Formats: sequence, C-alpha cells, structure tokens
Amino acid sequence: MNDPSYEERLQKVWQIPRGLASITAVNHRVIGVRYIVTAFIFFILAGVLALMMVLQLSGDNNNLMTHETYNQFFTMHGTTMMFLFAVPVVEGIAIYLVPLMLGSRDLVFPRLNTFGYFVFLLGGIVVWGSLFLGSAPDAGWFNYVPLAGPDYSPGINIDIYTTAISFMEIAALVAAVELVITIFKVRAPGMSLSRMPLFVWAVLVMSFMIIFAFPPLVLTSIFLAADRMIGSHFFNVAMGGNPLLWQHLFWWFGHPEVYIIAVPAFGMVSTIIPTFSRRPIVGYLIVAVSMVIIGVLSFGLWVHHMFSADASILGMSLFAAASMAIALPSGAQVFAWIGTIWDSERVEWRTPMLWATGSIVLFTIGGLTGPMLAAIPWNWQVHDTHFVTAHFHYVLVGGAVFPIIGGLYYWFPKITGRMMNEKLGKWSFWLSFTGFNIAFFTLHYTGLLGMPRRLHTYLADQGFDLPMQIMLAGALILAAGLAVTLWNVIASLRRGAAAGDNPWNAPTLEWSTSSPPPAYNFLYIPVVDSSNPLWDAGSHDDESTRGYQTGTDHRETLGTTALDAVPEQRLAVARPSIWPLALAASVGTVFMGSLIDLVFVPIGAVMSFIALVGWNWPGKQRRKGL
Amino acid sequence: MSHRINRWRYYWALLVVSLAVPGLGGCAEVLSLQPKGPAAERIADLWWFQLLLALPFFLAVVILLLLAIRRHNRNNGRHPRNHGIQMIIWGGAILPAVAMLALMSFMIATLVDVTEPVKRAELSIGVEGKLWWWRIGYSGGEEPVFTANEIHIPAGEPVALELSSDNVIHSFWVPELHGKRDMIPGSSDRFWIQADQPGVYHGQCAEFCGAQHARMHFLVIAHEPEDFLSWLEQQRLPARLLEEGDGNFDGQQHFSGAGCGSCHTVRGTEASGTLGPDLTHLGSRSALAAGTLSNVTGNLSAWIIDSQQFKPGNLMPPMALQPDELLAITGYLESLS
Amino acid sequence: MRHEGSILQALDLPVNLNDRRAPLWLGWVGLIVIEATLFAALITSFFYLRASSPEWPLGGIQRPDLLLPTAGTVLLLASSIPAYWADHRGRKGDLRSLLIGLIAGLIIIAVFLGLKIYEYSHTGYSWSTNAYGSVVFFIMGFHLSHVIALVLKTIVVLAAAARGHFNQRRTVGIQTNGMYWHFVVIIWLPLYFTLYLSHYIF
Repeated sequence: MNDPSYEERLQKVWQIPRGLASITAVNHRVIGVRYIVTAFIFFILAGVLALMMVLQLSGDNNNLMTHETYNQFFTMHGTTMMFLFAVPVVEGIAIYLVPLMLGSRDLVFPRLNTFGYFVFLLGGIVVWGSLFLGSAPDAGWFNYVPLAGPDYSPGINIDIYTTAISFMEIAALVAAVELVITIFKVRAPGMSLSRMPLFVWAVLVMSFMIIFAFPPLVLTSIFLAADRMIGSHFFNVAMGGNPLLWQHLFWWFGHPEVYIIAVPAFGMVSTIIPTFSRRPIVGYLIVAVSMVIIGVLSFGLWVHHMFSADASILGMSLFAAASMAIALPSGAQVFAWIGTIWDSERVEWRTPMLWATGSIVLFTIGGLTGPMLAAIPWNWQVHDTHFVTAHFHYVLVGGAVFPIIGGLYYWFPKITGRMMNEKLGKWSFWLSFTGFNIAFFTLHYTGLLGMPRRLHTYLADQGFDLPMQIMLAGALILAAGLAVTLWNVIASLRRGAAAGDNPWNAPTLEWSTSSPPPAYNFLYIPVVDSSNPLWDAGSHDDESTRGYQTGTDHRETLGTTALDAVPEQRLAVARPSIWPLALAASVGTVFMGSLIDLVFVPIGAVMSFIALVGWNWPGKQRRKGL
Repeated sequence: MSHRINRWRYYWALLVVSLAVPGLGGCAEVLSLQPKGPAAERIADLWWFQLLLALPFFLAVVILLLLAIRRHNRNNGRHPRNHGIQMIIWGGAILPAVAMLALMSFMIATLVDVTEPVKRAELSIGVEGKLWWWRIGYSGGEEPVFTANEIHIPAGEPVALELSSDNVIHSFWVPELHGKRDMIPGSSDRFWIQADQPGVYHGQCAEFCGAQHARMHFLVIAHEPEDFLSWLEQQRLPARLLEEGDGNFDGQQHFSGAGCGSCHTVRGTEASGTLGPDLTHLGSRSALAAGTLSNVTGNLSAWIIDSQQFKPGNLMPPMALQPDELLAITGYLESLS
Repeated sequence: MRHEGSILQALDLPVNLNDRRAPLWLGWVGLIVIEATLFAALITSFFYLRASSPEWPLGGIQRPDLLLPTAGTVLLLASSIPAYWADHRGRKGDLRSLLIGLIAGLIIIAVFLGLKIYEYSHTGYSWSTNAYGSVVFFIMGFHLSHVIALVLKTIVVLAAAARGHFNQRRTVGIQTNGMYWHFVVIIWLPLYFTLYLSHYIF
C-alpha cells in the first residue's frame, strides 16, 4: 500500500535545485550527466583536432599548419582524449549508474563528486583556453623531459600541462575513493558481492587502480612544475637529475590508465550483451576475477613503454612476459561475451548490441598487436611508429569508445526517458565501424613502412602519401558515423519515443525505477536475491518484498554490510551545497593561479582551508541530535 | 523493424573485417620487413612468427561471432547450447598461454641474437643526436673527425655505435638494419648495426624531439671494406687552406668574415665552432639539413641565406649576405669534398 | 516494478553508526592510502636518483647528522601518546580529556615543526642546489605539509568539540582525526630511514 505523503516527503527532501541554484546541486545523477556531457564535448573537440592533423598529413610537405600548431594539436588530441574524455566519461557513467544499480538513493559523499566535477571543468577550460591562445602544451601527451623541461620548453605551454594535470587528477582520485566506499556500503539488501552487476565490479576495479596509479603522476607533474618554476633539478642531468625518472613515474600511471579506461567499458559490454542475448553472462565469476587480475597485473607492465631505452635484458623480459600475460584475462572476457551470444536462445540486434559486438572485433585486433609489441626486438622496430598508434586506437576505440557509445544508446532511455532512433543508430554504427577500420588498419602499414609518430610532415619518396590519404578517407567516414550519433542524441531529446521503465527488458536494478528516475531514485530500497533481480522477480510468489522505507526528515539511504549486504544503518547524505564549488575554486587558485604568480599558492591554500572548514563544519541536521 | 542482422550487413562486416588479410599481404613492400642486415632479418622472422600465432585467434573470434549471429538469424528459439565455458577456457586461457610461451621463447632467442654481436664489433662510431641533426664522429688517428647526417660503415661486419645526446631525447632508427635505440641525455649507449651489402639505408629520428623532429633524417652508407677505408682516409684530411689567387679564396674569406666559424668547423682553417655540423667535407654529402634538401648549389645558397624558410625553428639564423658574398661562400663550401 | 510485497522499515535501524562502519572512516582510510602511495613514489624517486648517481649525496654535500633527526623522530612518536589517550577518552564522552590530550599533542608537534624548520634552514643546500637537494627538500616538504594539515585539522576538531559537537553518540570525527595523526607519525618512519639512516646502512 503506498503512503502518498511518504512519496511527497521523499520528493521534497531530495528535490534537485533549479535555475541558478543548480550550481549547488549534489545529486549523483545531475553530476553524472554533467560529467558525461562535458566529456563528450571534449571528445568532439579532440576529434576535430585529429581531423585537422590527418588533413595536414594527407600530402608530403604539406603546409596547412606550422609545426608549432601541429605539435600543439597532437599533444592536445592525446591529452584531451585521455584526461578530459576517457577517464571523466567512465567516471561520469559510474557516478550516474552505480547508485542505481546498487539500489541506493545517492553516493555516500555527494559533495565530493560535485567538487570533482568543478575541478574537471575548470582544468579543462584552462587547458583548452591555452590552445585558443596558441600556448597549448606541445611536447606530447606523455610530455617527456628534457624536452618538456625549462631549457627546451621555456614558454607557458608545459606549465599549463603540469598544473592542469595535477589539478584534474584530484577529481579522479576523489571519485575513485567515493565509488569504492559506495560500493561497499550502500548495496541493496541481499546484494552480496557475488550478486553485484559486472559493471559495478568493473567500477570497483577501476577505482582501486586509480587510487594506486594516479598519485605518482601527480608527484612527477609537481616535480616538473618545480624544475620549471622554482629551479629544482629532478630531471636536470647536469645537476644529478634523471630524465628516465619522469618516464618511470609517468608510465607507472600510464599503463594502468588505459585499463582504468577499458575495464569499465568491458563492464558495459558485459551488461549489454547478456541483456540482448536474453540470458545471464556465461562465466560471471570468471569475468569478475579476470577484471581483478587485469587490475593488479596492469601495474607490472609499465616498462614496455621504455623498451628502446637500454635496460637489462632480464628486467625487460619480465615486463614483456607480464605484458603478454595480460592478454589472457582480456581474452577470457572476449570469449565470455562470444560464449554468451553462442549459448543464448535468441538475440535481439538492437543498436547497443551492435556497438558492443563490434567492439569485440576491434578490441581483438588491438589485443593481438599488443603481445606483438611486447616482443622486445619487434618493439624496437615499431615503437614510436604508427604501428603503435594503430594498436592503441584499436584497443581504446574498440575496447572503450565503442562500448561507451553502446552504453550511451543503452542508458539514454533511462537517463532521459526517451528512446533513441534505431535506424540512425545502426547507420552510425556501420559508418563508424567501416571508417575506423579503413583509417586505422592502414596505420599498421605505415608503421611498418617506417613512419615515426608525431611527424608534422614527411618526404615525398617515403611512400606515406597514399596510406595517409586512405586514412583521411577513413577518418571522414568515422567522423560522419559519429556525427550521426550526435544528431541522434539531439533529435531524440526532443522527439524520441517515451521509454517506459524497462524498454530493453533488462535485469539490473536501474531498470526497476522510472525513466528518468525520480529524485530519490527508488521509492523503497529494493531487496535482491539474485544477480539478475528483474529477470528472477517473476519466480517468486507473495514472499516478495517491495523494499525498505527510509526516513524523510533528511536525505538518507540504506547502509548495508560490506560483504553480504545485510542492512545495518541509515546513512545521512549531503543536501545541496555551495562548498564544493568554493573548494574547487580555491584549489584551482593554487594550481592555476601558480601560472600567474607563485603567491597564489599560499593564497589558494588559505582559501582551501576556509572552504574545507565550511564544508565539514557541523550543520543544522547534526545539531538536531542525529 | 527487424532486429536481426540482415545478410547484406553481415557480408559487409565480413568484407570490412577481412581487410585484415590483404592488408597484411601488402606488407611485403615495407622497410622493416625487407631486412638488409642480420639484426633486421632476425626481427623480421619474429614478426612472421607472431603473425602466424595471432591470425588463428583473430579468425577464431570473427568466425565464432559470425556463426553465432548466423545461427540466431535462422533459428530463433532453438535449443540453447552450453559451450560458453569451454570457449573461455580454451580461447581465453589454454591456447593463448601456449601461444605466449612459444612467442616468449622465440623472442628471447631473437633478443640474444640481436644484442650479442655488439661485443664482436671492431669499429666504433660516435653518434650524437642534436637539434635537429646527427653528429657523427670517427675516432682513431690523431684527432677524431666529425661529419653530419651520414654514417659510413663497412658492409658485412657489425659496427658499434656510441649513442648519446646532450640536449633532449632522440632515437636512432634505420629500419632496414635494426630496431631503434633511444639516446637519453646523461647516459651513453653502445648499440650496433650491420649491413650485409653495400648500399644506402635511410634512417630517421624516432622520438619526438621538438619543432623539427620531422626533418631529422640521416643515411647509413655501407661500403666494401676497402672503399670504406679510403672514404675514412679522405675524411681525415683537413681542408686545404686557400691563398690569394685560389679560385675559392674569396669564399673562404667571406666564410670567416660572416662569422660562420663560430658555429661550424672547417678543419685546416680557423673555423672551429661546434654548435652546427662540421663542414670540412660538406661537398661529399648528398643532402643538407638532415635530409631536408638535396645538396645542390641552389639549395645550399637558399639554406644559407634563410634556413628558417625550410626548417623553421632550427638553430641557424638567416644570414645577411650580399649576393656576391653568398655566391662565393656557396662555391667554397661545395669545393670542400 | 513489483507492486505486491511487504514494505520493511529502515526507520528501525540506527542513523550513522559511530564506528568504522561509518563511510567517513573508510573515506579517511582512502585518503591515507593515496597519500601513502605518494610517499612511496617519493621514496622510490630518492633511491632511483641515488642509483643513477656516482656519489650520494651529490655535489660534496655531507651525509646528514643523526642527532637532531632522531630527536625529532622521538618527539613525533611521543605526540601519538597524548593523541591516542585523547581519542580514547573522547570516545567515552570525556571532552575535557579530549581537549587536554589534543592540545598536549599539538604542543609536541609544534616543537617537532620548529626543530625541522631549524634543521632545514641550516643544511647549506636547498632544492635548487642539485637533484639530491631537490628530492630531500620535497620529501621533507611533503611530510611537513601533512604535519601542518594535521595541526590545522586538529584545531578545527578542538573548536567543534568546544562547541559541544561531539558526544558519546557521535565521535567519528575524533576517531578519524586520531587515525590521521597516527598516519602522519608512522609514515615518518620510512622517510626517516630514507633521508637519514640509509646513508649509514648502505
């Protein structure tokens, strides 16, 4: 029996502020959508850069842009895709989906993610602002020293990189900690770890990886900023520094980084394929364990980015072996997906399923050139050539972008309440799949021809002209395919058919509430007893439980035990607040202000202290004796 | 609307994905796979071996997927199968593990073969990465001789290269002869190459090193051993100090008058700068500015008067010279063979 | 959406458990793990630079004397005692002991800070002298900034306690402060080993 005033009270206390006040909103769905939309804007911007780069390379000795512009473009393309699109978009999707998949009303620290978003936005604006001012970072997305040091890059370009990257990593780190705690503390009653959706497993692995991978990057960026701004000598050979220190610290982060991006994407594929195969995934436990193995093993690979810098054969061989070995848990997942399709009774080939399945093919190609690159002598031939560029685009576009777009098609109805157009979706997929293969398969070839990376031009007799033109053609087709999806999003927002709660007949909890969900997500916190709750619901009789009614005096959700999700407490969570913005602006003053003058560092520190006190100072509800 | 994949889409997928096979066939034309030295040969063998291991996995994934799709298109609702776990175990664990072990073994054998010969090298050449050119040094004799952007070696024997950089990281790469090796400031690295036959082999910097990374080419020129020795003898000779009345005397005087000697060396004269390439035998080189221009009169003059228009950002400033001065200097430099 | 079934009352459950089951507790653990990773990377950088240098310390700098640093270490370890006691009594609702204990701990920390500032303004080198100076000053600087953060944080906790925010029912803020305190002290031990002892051991 519904208590109508319960619903009204819930709605009132969970209300999302509108208009100007929305700057204080902290609901996870609001923040998640902001992350996703902002990340996709950066994706489009980085894609435009790529098209312009390919245009420049489409003829030998082309003069469409100077080398300065080209070097900023390729650096910004990589930096934007990795730091401003890939990680934020998977985090944003996680922030949106995880509480819904867990049956919770919100994350455990809503203000923390709000802060993270403002940090991301501010950092992204500064970095792109620098491009429009012609001073963007220009030493590549991995920014090797001494080229990026004070002697060889005297301008502000690299300072933008060091400060903005360190700043934005804070956003990623806080999101990671928050997601781990949320996953352990607010799962629906009955959702033991072995009944968690695979996407949530993926987010858990991703978050642990972020926690251990990002701090060394922050550290090495600060080292470089110090070398450049206050005269330290971490990387200055003449005074005892070592350029390889940068490479080690960067790649300790850099290799796990790509799995931080790929693992949640795998989680999406592991969600989409079973839904449209109308059966649970084959080998749930194997898939979950594989993701954990990838998470751990990925920390043991980083030297494979440095094989052509002379090192001990024994040491390099260990990294080579590990780099090959990681193909096993990845391969296990690929065959789990294929096996699920194979073993199912019927499959519905809707748009999300196309993107997810296509991603398997592309990821496999990338996953096969990976162990090739791990074979050290072969690495010496193709390292720093387009062969590597081809490899990582196959694994990142295949292993992450295609699943993310599939996820977009899959969860768009839940987020907006409207369906996307199937026909446009399928056109988009086929154009993108074709264009991508034409463009990037060709790059394996140019790498073998001897074309190094990051060239703004090349000689007429090297044989690169025709392949580069083929690449341009493929890139344009790919761009057209992605543009169709963009059009689909815009058109569907206005005219898409009403979605209903569960248009795909999917099994996980987010589909048990309305589309879009109400501000409080679920009227009653659901109770589950299987890993596919909505599919197994029909098999119960009147033993079924509707769920838990929670309090409506303040925002709260249900806290459960870490392993078996037995209810143990009600968790008060934050309501809208200005402090996240205040803290983001203060921390931003420390980092971005240092670009103007170092005096802003202590000023920003004081501001941050004040903002932190304001954030944590006991509020009204605490004084009520809660 | 149909939620099956109609067969035309299915054929299209087949076509697009099968780009792989002809794409690989085209590989016979590529430098890394047309080895001209023992190191590159062993590495090319490794490529074919690993391609042979990779193809079955790719085909397995594609074929299994297409079969799964085709089955559903035809027979919705047929009795479900139970092969998934088998696929995971075989395709995701056992077979890849076996393939990896094979690849590791082949790799280690190759690694030993391509690193061991450096110990047998008798000749050692210094290669320094500069912004954005290559400084090549031959020791022995009374003093080392330096040239730029061309590495001459005797064919048929391993030659050691002492790689170094005093500025940013560069990477030495001649795909027809060997893989690449990074040149990292602060450490010197003993690498090696060997060309089986005399010939000219193209090399290029392979680590992004700043503004003109794209214009940092070089050549490895292998000679018959006797020809190499006579080349080296020729290079060891200093330039003849010209006197009044010699054809290129004016050029020699203008060269020092314009201050060229503060950056460039011409052994045998006062010019002893080391910021730019050694020009003692410029006339014998085939290209200018690390492969940017071919070494002909017009190019040389144009480079001298304003190198920035060919290689913007390079460290040579435009030179304010009168036309007759420029002509004379060009003539003088061309005579330095 | 199921429309049958019983509705369970979460209102029977307590709000915001007051021990390590509180999300805030895990949040501080997360922050500590991140900072520990940062310090591990710093220590690794120290030894990496050492391994790639012919002599260590560089540039004729003498290896550090052990007297002052060891005294400082003892002080820092000692500060944990009143902090632990304050935490323990605070959880029982004894606000007065909480205040006394934390203030005593802060005084010891202040002496430690003074000692460190003295030590590092009299080394004869700085972060811009050479890579050794850079890494030493950064390790020290990172740790000191954590100490300062601890001091500021403790003052805020004291202020909140003085306003009656904490009681037996609500002490997670005190517990997490204590946790962070012990972290700052314990993480100093590997840093002490790196900056001082390592020169004498190998």
